[in-house]
Amino acid sequence: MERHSEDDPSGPQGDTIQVDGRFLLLVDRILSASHTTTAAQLSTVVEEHGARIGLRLEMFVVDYEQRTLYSLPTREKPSSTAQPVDTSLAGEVFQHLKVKVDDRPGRLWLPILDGTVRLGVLKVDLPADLDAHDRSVRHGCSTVASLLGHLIQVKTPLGDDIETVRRTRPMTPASELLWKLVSPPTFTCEDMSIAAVAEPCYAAGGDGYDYSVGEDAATVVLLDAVGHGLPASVTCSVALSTLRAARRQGRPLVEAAAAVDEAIQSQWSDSRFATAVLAEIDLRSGAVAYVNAGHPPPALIRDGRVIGTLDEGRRLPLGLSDTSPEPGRAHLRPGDRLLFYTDGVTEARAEDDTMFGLDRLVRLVEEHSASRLPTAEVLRRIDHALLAHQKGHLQDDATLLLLERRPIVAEDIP
Amino acid sequence: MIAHEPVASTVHRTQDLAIVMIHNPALDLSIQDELEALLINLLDSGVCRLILDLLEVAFIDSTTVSALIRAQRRARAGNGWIRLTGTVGQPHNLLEVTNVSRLMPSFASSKEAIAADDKPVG
Repeated sequence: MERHSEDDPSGPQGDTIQVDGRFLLLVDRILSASHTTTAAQLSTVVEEHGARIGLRLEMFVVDYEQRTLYSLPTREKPSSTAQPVDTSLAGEVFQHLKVKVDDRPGRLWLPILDGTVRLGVLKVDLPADLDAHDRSVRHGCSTVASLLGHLIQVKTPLGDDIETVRRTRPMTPASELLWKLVSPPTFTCEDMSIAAVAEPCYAAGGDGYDYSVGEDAATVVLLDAVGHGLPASVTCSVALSTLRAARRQGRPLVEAAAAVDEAIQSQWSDSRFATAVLAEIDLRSGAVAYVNAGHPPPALIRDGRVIGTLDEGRRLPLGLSDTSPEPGRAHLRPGDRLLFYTDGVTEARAEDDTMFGLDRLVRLVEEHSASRLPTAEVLRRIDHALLAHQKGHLQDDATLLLLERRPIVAEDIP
Repeated sequence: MIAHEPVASTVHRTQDLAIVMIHNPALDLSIQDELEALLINLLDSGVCRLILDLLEVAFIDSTTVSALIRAQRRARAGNGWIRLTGTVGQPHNLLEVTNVSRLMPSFASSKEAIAADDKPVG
């Protein structure tokens, strides 16, 4: 993640900026209306309140494959328009999370984020008296975009209108279940950033992930349940829910893993299982404790090289009872990354049978991270490289989760 | 729908010992049911020591691993066992990464599999 620059959507810190009163009025009106706004109405409410202060606002949301940004239809513009992520200015804004001024005078594009989850972009056509290059105007627009990020996230589950714009294909019941279950795809705080990507996004199987960041520690889980389709995603959901329940009761990792054995065996007697890595990271010291339940070991990356893998703390996959292992230990320095993946990533095969492989995966993580892209964008690009490797035909579920202990940068030191 | 494919196998049986050679290059969901039925039928007909030779198998998926574990459970219930031979490449790696090799040990040859300590594993 880049730190605050002039273009940062979260705005400059420390100094005060005089924001045109119209933006505050707009925020106030949208907020007031938002209490009773449905998912279907949100875009129209935003458009109408924008128009009342002379702004033309158009919201775009990204599709599940993160290839195209689609405008949310409004009463005025009932049909959606598309902006490709890879080749448009809107897409550039989405990729880099930077505010951009369009060639067309008075037009700004801003990222729409909820936290660090990239939802889409906002197109703003300014009235003649506001300058797109003016810092305070951009700040005012960023404030509006931030509000819209929260609102999209809050309103989306209330109706299908925003959700369906994000879909280019029908989603299987397995995917409907999984997307409700997993943690948000990106999270960043002072100490670490986490991003995940899962394919196939419209037809999931048994892959799932979960994380939780507390005051002192974060826990991360990546899981791959046996089989495909709905049976696999149901196993995955039982495992993830059990792990969450155990975590919230303060139970240690090995006990949480045993709780999943019990939960799966109480539901099924067919020896189904899920391979998983459960990790707990101390936010202050970077100490990692983990259990590896038959899963490909996550890679610890430092200075562009894999310096270790999480292959201790081994036990049988979750669902197959095992004696409790002693958790494995590792240590993350500031700037270190942990790359979790399912075998659908590394074992993805091209037409000529070459596997995607861990080496290629790590190389891509490093290449893209070196270009200082947001973590979510690093994973979007790797995801597309993985799909291209298989010519779009996924043989297996593929899920990636990248965790970074954030580097200490000069501006952090008071 | 999943198309069910036949298991191609050769079975050598002497009394309670069976050596099953699998000829399918890939064992996945489409073969899993039939593979499991083959193993269970042998166990039910008095086989206690079952050696599964996977030398010709280049790929197994997790549902197959799950089916093997079920069959192993059945074998154990009758004080028997299933042991593997000829696991190389992907099948070997999958069994190792998942630690399932502890439940389903692999041996270099059927002679070694038979000679191995009879103590139940895993």
